[in-house]
Amino acid sequence: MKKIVNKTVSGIIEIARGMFTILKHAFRPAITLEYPEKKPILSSRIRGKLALTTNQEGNLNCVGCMSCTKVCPCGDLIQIESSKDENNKPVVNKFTIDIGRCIFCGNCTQACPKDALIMTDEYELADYSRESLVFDKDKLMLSPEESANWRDKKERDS
Amino acid sequence: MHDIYIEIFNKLGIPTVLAEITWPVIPFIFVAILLILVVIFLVLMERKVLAWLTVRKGPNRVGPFGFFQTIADAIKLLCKEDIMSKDTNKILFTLAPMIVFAPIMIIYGLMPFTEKFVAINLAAGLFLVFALSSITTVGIVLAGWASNNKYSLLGGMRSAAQAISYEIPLVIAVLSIAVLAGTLNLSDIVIAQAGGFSDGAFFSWNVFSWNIIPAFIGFVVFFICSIAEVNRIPFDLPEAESELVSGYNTEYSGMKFALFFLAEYAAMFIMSVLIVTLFLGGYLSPFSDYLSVTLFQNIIHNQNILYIFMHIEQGFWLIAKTYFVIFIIIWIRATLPRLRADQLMSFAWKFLLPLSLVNLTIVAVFKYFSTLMNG
Amino acid sequence: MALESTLNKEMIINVGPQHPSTHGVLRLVMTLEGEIIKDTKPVIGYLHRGLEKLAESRNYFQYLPMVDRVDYLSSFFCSAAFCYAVESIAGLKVPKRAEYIRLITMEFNRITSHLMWLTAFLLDLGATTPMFYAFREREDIVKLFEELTGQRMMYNFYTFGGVKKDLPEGWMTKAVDLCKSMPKMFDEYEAIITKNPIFMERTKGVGVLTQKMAADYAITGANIRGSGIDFDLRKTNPYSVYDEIDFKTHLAENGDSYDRYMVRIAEMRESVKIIEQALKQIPGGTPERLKVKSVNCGCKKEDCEFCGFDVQLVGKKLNAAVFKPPVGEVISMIEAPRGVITCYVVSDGTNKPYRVKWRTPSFSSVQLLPELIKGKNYSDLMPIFGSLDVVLPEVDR
Ligand code: SF4
Ligand code: SF4
Repeated sequence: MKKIVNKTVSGIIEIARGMFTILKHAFRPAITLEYPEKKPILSSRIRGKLALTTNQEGNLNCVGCMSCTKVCPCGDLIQIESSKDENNKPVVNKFTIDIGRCIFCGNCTQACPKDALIMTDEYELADYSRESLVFDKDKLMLSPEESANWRDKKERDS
Repeated sequence: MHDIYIEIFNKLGIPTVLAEITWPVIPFIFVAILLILVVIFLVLMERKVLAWLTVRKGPNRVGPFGFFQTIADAIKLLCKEDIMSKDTNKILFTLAPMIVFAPIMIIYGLMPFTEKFVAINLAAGLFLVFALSSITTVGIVLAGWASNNKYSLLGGMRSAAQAISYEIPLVIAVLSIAVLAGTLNLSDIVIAQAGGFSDGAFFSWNVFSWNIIPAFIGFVVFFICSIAEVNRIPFDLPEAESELVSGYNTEYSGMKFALFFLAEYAAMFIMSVLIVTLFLGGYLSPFSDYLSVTLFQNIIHNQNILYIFMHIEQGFWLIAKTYFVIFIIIWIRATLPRLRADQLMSFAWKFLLPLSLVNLTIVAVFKYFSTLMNG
Repeated sequence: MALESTLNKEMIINVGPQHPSTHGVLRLVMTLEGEIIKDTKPVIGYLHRGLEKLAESRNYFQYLPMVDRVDYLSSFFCSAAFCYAVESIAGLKVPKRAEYIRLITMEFNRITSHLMWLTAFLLDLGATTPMFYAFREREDIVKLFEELTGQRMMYNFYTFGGVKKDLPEGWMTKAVDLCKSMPKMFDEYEAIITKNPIFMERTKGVGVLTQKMAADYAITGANIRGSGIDFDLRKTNPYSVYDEIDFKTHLAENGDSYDRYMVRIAEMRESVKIIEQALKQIPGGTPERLKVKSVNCGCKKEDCEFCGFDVQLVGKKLNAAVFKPPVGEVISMIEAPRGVITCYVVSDGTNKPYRVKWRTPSFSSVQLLPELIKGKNYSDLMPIFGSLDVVLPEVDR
């Protein structure tokens, strides 16, 4: 009998304690981030959509060394075709990345010797077909200003 | 009212017989509208309160404060395909949600929302309420059986077991109210709670004669049992979603699911009204007089207008108390985990049942002495 | 279906692979008599991604991001296991600072993993609110990870011989603040859960894991510490820099679900203490300070406090294309949140591993499940299965 009474009393106290702990939260501000209207603040290290940087003249920094393709875990999703121009300078003719298969691991950007391939903070990449997720050179290329911006950001960070 | 109604029919040249036949249906139309409004508000409230307790915002996209979210959800449910799997028992499967829903609608008619706003004022109203509320269990068992799904079946069985064990302490707790009030009529039970403790400015407040004071244990038992009756956490075993997917309504979709959903929330509301009616003075104001009457009697001398004010205030008190009770139920839902089936049984039989008997004894002794004192 | 044929018969119920509380895609074929469980057969493999086979066709650097997916709730641990294995084959030395960063991130990861477990466990028991609270705290930690590594779940942050990046500026202050506020949050969970009579009823004496059973099934981690076996690789076989940190392992006696819960809560508190110590002891101190000091110093000597080996991030810069560890095989073990995670790597001297084998703790726990729940009520499935902290990707790999 005494045991039951004890158990009941302690049970009621504990439940009340739990309930009031929960009620305390009612007076705390909501932590919801109302997504499409408000966006999270992202750090400069965020691994979002891949992009190709350009120099001041608007040419790609990429030299076609293929380092990025060698570290990409997903096989052949980066495809590069390059040739040499008359000054023996490399020109990249084709550069496509199949973003739909990319796992955003960041290996390629790390391997790139020229900082030609970087990851931006763009993450809203959903689309209706797989084909539209294969990004070609034009889609990946950043303007010179944006490239400078990103370079600054990344430098400040490291 | 009855006369006016028939007169309208006469003026329009419709036979009086038709008026006589349609007259009893009118309260139910009111009740149906009330029920749907209540549920819409209740669902929103539950979501908002839960969101509030879990540092979220809750629905806030559809309409101001997400007010039309429930309506949007209801429309979505209505537009959904009504799926019925191959081996279901079609008749029972369709019947089950109706059996669950209909009794609850009738109970709404029995409730005294204000002094006059009682659709059916029966002498044995209290008895009928419990008779009807146990019918819903039949519907749930039926749903579980007819779905031809093992999870549903387990859910239905659990529901039956749960109803049997919880109805007994529930009824015994109510018995104490019948003893206190000396009647089974719900309106009379409310009126019996008026008058206060004795004369005098403070003691004549109605609060002091609410049934909760002599029958506090009964109140606790009734509260717990009614949570079990409407299958809410911590007693939501029939639809324990982590074990039984969704229990008895796993196979239901579209309108049939909506009926279960509606019934669940309607039952929650009506149980809270019942708690308020039986233990917390129903539509009575907690003070000795109605506030609006006291406030306005010097300004407005028309008795009819005061009378209307009084009714509005009675409705207000009832709704306020009910929502307070509902808030506690939601609060409990936010806090507690679910019990196990056998623990639930032993809790009902070994703990609540003795407790309700203790309560009955206390109330009987109280009643004896209070009658003795009052002569 | 005639009524007679269903009477007096056992019922076979198929829990999962799509069921609210199988933590992924586990399928349990259960034989029930009424609500009593007679027999259980776990069916696994719905999340099999062939992670072991994938390694054989990829070079070490290509495989590294995939390792995170072995157990997505504790990615750092899998990375660490693989990195330690490769490092010891290739004989790479890891700088102290990198080790400390690894340790801090791993312990934070342990907390997130345990918080995730807590939410899933309580959700299975029917309590919905603690989930939101635990996720709020988890979010804070995940934000820190995002700032550090660039992603919230698949970090790909460790590399052979160290870590990829230094801590960002201001990260350490945030981490210290978090460590201060975290124990208060744990107190709140405990106020809601620990002494709750319904929670105690449901978990005490349920799913008792005896010491013998634990040894037989090779259970590791918090699950055996709940049964009173003092086995924690961080203590018994300290990898990383755990030998420089002062911490306790927490044990319980009965081995029931409640004890496993208690052990995990205690472990989270201990992790906070470990992180606090590590943040104090990290060689070089905060990144801001280190940067200034190393620029001013600039001596480039091996044993310098500010530009020597100890404060580097990677021991030796490796070229992905030509990184070829010598022939050999190595096994490395890490005390992950769910138990000991083992990575076995065989190298044949090429730039691709010859064989990678993962031994994961959840796999053993799933095997244990049928024995633990035999003869129990069907509702006991959740407190038992939930308390074992099984994560399906880790089982299937
Ligand atoms: S981020 Fe990873 S998966 Fe994506 S392209 Fe670069 S290396 Fe390949
Ligand atoms: S590694 Fe950089 S420079 Fe080389 S091909 Fe890739 S993007 Fe171009």
